Amino acid sequence: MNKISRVSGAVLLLLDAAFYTFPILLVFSWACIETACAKKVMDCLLYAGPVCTPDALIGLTKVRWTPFTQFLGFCSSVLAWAPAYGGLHYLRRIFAHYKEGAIFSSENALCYSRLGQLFLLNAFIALPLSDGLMVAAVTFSNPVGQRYVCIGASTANLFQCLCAGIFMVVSWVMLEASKLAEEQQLTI
Amino acid sequence: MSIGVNLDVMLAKRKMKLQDLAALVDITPQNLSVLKAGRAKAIRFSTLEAICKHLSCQPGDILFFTEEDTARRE
Repeated sequence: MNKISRVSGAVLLLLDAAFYTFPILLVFSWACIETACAKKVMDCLLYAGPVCTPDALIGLTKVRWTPFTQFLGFCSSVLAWAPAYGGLHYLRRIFAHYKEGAIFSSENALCYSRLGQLFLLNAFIALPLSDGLMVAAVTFSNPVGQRYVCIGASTANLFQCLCAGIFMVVSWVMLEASKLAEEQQLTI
Repeated sequence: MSIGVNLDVMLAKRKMKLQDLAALVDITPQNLSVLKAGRAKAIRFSTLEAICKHLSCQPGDILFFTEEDTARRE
C-alpha cells in the first residue's frame, strides 16, 4: 500500500503542476503570439500540426494575427483543450484517492465514467467546434471569398468515441465490483 | 423494509461487553460494532450461531424484521 501511495503522490504532483501551469501557458502563448518564446510553446506543447483549410495547411505561427483573430484563436484553443483540462481534474481526483488507499471505490468508478463522458464531449462538440473556429481565425484576414468556417468529423472523432466507450465500460465494471466488495466487507 | 439488530439489548440483558462477545465469537470488535449499528449487509450462519451460543438466545432475539427503514426497535 505504501508503494501505491508513494507513486500516486508523485503522479499527483505532476498532474497538479500540469493543472496549474497549463492555463498560464495557453494564455501566454496567445497573448504573446508574435514573440519567439510563445511560438515555441505553441509549436512544441499546445498544437500537433498546421490548421487544415480548404486552400492550404496553415501553421499557427505563420499567420498574421489581429487582436480579433487572436481572440478567436484563443477561444478555439480553450474549446479544444477544455475536455482535456476536465480530464486532468478527474485524474487528479483519482490519484488523490489512490494516495489515500481507496483504489476500487465507487468515487473512482464515477471519475472514470466522467472521463468517458469528456471523451464523448470532445468528439461531438469540442473538436468540431474548435476546428471550425480555428479555421475561421486563420482565414479571417484573407480577402473576401477566401474566408472559411469548417465543421467536420474524422478518424480522430471516432477514436475519441472508442475511448469514451472503453472508459464507460471500465467504470461500470468498477462500480459493480465496488458494490460486491462493499457487500463482502459488510458481511459479518 | 429491513432487518433490524437487537444486539445491544441482548448484551445489556446478559451484562456482557461488546469487546468480550467479539473475543468469544472470534470476530473483531469493529465488525461486531458494524452488526450492532445495523450497517451489516449480511451475516454468516457460523457467526450467528456463535453469537446465539454465547448470549444463550435465539436468532429471533437478535434479529427482527421491520417495515420501516430504521434498523432499531424503540
